[in-house]
Amino acid sequence: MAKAIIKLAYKQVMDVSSSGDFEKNVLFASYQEFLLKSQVYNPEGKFKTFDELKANDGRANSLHYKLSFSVGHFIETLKGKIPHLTDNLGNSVVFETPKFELIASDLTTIDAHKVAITYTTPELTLLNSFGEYLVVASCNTTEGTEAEAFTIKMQDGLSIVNYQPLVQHHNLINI
Amino acid sequence: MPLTLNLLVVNTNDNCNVVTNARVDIWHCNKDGYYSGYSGQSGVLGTKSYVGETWLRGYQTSDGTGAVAFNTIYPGWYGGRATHIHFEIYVNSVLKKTTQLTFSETISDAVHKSSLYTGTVNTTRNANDGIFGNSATDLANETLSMAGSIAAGYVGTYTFGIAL
Repeated sequence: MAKAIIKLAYKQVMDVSSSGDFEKNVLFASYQEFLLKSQVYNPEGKFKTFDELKANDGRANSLHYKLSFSVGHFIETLKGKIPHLTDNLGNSVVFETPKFELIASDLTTIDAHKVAITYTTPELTLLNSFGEYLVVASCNTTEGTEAEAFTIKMQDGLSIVNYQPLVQHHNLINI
Repeated sequence: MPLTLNLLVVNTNDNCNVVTNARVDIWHCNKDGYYSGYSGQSGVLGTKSYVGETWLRGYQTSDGTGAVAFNTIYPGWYGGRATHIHFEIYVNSVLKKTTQLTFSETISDAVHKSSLYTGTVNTTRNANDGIFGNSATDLANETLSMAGSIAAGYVGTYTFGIAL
């Protein structure tokens, strides 16, 4: 019996130690954009790090979404599939919304540049859970009918970020 | 409503000679007054989130004649601001100008009253806007020159003078 409507989110952190073309492209493009877009929050050039920019002007938090535009076309190459996350059969998991975050950076070195993309799935039906494992299906399941499901292990970086319990209907027998 | 922007970048410290290879960024809201890229925006369609989306944002680099062009749409509007487009200009990776431009209210009102848009005119008039309303001169200097029509779309032109 379906338990809840959920959304899963997977957070991918990238920095200079990351391998893979996607990660390198995201890191490089977002750093170049940081060098440009941080200037409006650093008119005298006094600050070097993202933390310093934010401490001086809270509006520097806009850099999270301002930098996201520089990596949008790289995210499109993922074709809606969360990188490095698979279900128990090795199949990819689809995401609906990618959210970019600037974790840290430094105008003097890309080595300090650290970003993350959190990929959130569309609504899924949580059918069941066994220990670390979730059994989920796409949201258009109907009670009493067969549904295509997948099993996925909870792991570092993966969370349930939205949970809407389903009303459980119990069949009563009139005696 | 299609809007083509034909822009020129010149150096005010050099007899207004053209500036080549200037990066010009633009961004503006959609026909309903929402921006791509972030969440929690209130407006005529309620609260909207467009996280992860990039529409109506981009940049071009000025060519050998100092020109950049954008094919976009006429912006909608949102409460508290006159109709506008945001611009940033970088030369050799240095931010040289951050600014906004507005439009003739006659044209904006006609566009916004059309069936393509919300059907209502912007409640913030250009002269009352916090950015454009400092003076009539400022407003005139921060207004795109427009040509075109509702039927054919519009072309906006403007020359940015930056001091290099």
